[in-house]
Amino acid sequence: MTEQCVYIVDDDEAMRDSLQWLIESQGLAVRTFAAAEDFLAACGDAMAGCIVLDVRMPGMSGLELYEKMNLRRCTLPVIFITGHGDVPMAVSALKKGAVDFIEKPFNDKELLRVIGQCLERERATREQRQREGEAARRLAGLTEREREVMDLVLAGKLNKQIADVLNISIKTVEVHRARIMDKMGVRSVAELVQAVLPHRP
Amino acid sequence: MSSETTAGQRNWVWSVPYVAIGIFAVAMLALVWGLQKRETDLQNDALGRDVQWAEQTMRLHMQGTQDTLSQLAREMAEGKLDRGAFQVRATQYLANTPELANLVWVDSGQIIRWTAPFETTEWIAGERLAGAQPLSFAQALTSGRPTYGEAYVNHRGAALLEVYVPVQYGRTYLGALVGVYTIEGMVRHLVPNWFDEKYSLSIVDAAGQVLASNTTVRPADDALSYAIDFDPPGNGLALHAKAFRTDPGVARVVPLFLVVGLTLVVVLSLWALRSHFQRRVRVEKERDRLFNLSLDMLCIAGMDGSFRRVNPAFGRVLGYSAEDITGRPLLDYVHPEDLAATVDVLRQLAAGQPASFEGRWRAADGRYRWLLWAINPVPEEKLLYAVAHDITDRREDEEKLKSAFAFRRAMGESLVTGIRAIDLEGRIIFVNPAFCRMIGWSEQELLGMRPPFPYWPPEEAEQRRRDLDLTLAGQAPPGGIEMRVMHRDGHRFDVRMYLSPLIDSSGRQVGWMASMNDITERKRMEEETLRHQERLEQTSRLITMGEMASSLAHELNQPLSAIANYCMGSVNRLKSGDYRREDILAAMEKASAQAERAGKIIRRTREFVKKSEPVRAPAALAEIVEEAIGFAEIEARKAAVAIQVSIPPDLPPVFADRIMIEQVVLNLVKNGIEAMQQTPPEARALNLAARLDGEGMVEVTVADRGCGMTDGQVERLYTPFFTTKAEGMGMGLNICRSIVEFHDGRLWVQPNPGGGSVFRFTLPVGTKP
Repeated sequence: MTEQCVYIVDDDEAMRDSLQWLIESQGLAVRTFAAAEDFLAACGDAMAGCIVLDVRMPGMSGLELYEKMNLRRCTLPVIFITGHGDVPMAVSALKKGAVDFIEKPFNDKELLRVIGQCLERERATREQRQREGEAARRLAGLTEREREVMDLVLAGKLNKQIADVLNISIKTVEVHRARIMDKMGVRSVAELVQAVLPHRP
Repeated sequence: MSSETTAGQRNWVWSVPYVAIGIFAVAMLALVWGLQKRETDLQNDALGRDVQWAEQTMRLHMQGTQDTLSQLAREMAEGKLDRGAFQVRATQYLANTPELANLVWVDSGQIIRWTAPFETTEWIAGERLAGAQPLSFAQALTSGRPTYGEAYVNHRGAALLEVYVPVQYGRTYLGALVGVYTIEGMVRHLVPNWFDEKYSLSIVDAAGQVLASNTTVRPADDALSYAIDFDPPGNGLALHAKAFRTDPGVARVVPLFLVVGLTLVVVLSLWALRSHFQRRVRVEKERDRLFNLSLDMLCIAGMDGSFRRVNPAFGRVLGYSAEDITGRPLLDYVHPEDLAATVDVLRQLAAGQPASFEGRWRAADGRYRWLLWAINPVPEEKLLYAVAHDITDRREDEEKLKSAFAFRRAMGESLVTGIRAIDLEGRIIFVNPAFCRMIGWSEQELLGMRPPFPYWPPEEAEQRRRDLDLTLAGQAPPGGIEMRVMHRDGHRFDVRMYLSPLIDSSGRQVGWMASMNDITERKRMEEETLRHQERLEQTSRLITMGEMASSLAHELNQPLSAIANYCMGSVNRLKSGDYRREDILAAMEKASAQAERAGKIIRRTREFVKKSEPVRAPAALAEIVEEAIGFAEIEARKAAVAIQVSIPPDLPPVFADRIMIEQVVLNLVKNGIEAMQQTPPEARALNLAARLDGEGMVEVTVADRGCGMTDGQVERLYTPFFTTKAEGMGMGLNICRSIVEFHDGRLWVQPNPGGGSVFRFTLPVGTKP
């Protein structure tokens, strides 16, 4: 499992440093970036954790960075830190799917709580994504005939009906079925449905 | 000279008929005279003949009587005749010869023996002859031949003549027979009747005494008479005949009168003819002179449209001589474009109708002149009499005028500026389409209108009337008058009117010309701009303030957050016990550095605020208020709010920053105006007053008639961002109060007893710092 990290993007050096000091006191890994562009350059699939992002920055603003990240399908949760009067900006950020925002001056406990939530959620999302990736990989391992049989099984047909439709013997259907269960790593039809559903249109 | 010659010739010619008439008249008179003379001669000849013939006849009769008497004498001498026979024969004879009065036998003793007729009283038997009778008796006896005695007039007045015929037997004279003629009887009975009718015959004795005449009528004159001796009986008797004038004198005079009269008539008529002719000649001469001198072109043309005679004006106007043009068809000179119309006119003329038309005619130099023709046809003479007037100049002027007019009209119509002219009494005499469009009244309706004009809004009619009076008095402001006018549909708009005197061609002022521009849009724009700017100012002020606050907050947030973070990070580490002392120390140092940074920010902000500190000085409140109201006026007018200001003139100056107090007044006035949006227009009044209170302060009151305020509103009134207005930010009153308090004054609000609110604030009087 990848180690989660809190990425801090803030132009104010004191802020960056003090935030790092505070978050590290919770035993979390922290990486700091002085500008949005720096973060964007370092941004990659390997990243896990959450981002603490200052809305107001010279150059690329926090919101712009967030939009760019969305374009790159970077799904790390973002916590905006806003100053006084930046409320409308924050609202629009929330509408675009940001996780949370915190208004300066903020309560350190509140910040740490939000960070904790975000990390938790990020971990859950990441695991979910890994499961889905696994299912897709297994699905790809099925033969053409096994895909056909699986489709009919998912449609709720009985073995006999499947045999009729595909013009094969019931025995063959049973063999296919067992292999499908094996390949997909599931024990029941219900699990099969769960595993396959996200990949169905 | 030639005219003199011709005049002389003409006079000579004129005298010929007179001379001829004179000769003719003389000849006629001579002829008449000759004829009459000849006639008289003929009459004289006839008279002579007739008289001779009468004398002859009388003589013959008397000869017969003589013979009869001789016969009787012979018979007596022979004694064959006695007294009785004598009586019978004598009486018988007397009866047949009326001229014979008596027959008498006288014996030789001169005694009357027998008389016939016996009843006569003249001759009585036995009496003797008397007087001259014996002498005649003796002569008869002596000569032995009948002898006539002297004629005499007896006592009865009858003229008598006696013939003595001797009676002799052998040599013996027995006596004599006496026949007594009455001379009147001779004249009457011895000549026939026709003679009596023609002539007056009388017998005259030797002394010229008329003895008897066949008529009592005497001829008028003796012009035609004839005398002849009457012998026998002789003794100086003569016959006198005078012709009765068979043709009366009138008949003789008539030809004379006729000749003279007719001659006179001829002469008179000739004279009349001559004077008429002279008059005609003079008139013709005048006409010719006019024809030649006329500036208009005169001509006579045939029905076929060819020139017969033209006057010299043709040469002057078109440059053709009479010889050039005579006989040429007039259509040759017509402009090709006018040809069809001219042919139509000729057709009309041929039909006998007079015509008048304008057309272009080619001059000798090839250019065309505009001519105005008036043509009268005379069909019986097959001629056209025409007058043409050169109207080229007029036409050109007209064209110029027309195009100038069209240009002016187009210009006038293209204008968006309304133009209106009034005369000196204020009556509208001209409007252009733009003006009509602006106010929605048509030109026809506007012309002649007198004030008040329909485009004066009723509520401003007074003001308009004053403006008009100023205009008519010539005192209109040169920069124009800004005014509000009313469209026909009732909507109002603002215009600016510029006035200038209207001068006619003779340089006399006849009215005033006004140009009117719709400035509603401009005004609206101005207002908009102003309001926009105000809002911008206000907003920018607020933004500046907000930004200042925001940036202050942000600036402070940074160090404060950092301090908090350092602290909490340290706390967390200290709590967990997992820390290094140097780390904590470093964090604390960083936190204190951030605190210092925050202090610096605060200090910097204080310095910035200090720079814009107000400048207080003594100021007249009235001026401040006036300026503030000036800013608010547009809004007030739009909201139909009447602002009344009552500031005592002796109010002492206040010690204040003009701009800031102006801001306060403006703010309060605007609040008041906005508060009265729901108030009925007639009640929208804003009262602004000032007075000196007892504590050396000036109290200013701004009282509106608006909706007023609830207690809760009054409580929260100065809270920042509290507002009762839809568009407000809620900063106004707060700032006002800050400003007033900065000036050591007080700002408070009270309900207006008559509805609405009263805002009051105080400012210190004086000049002290």
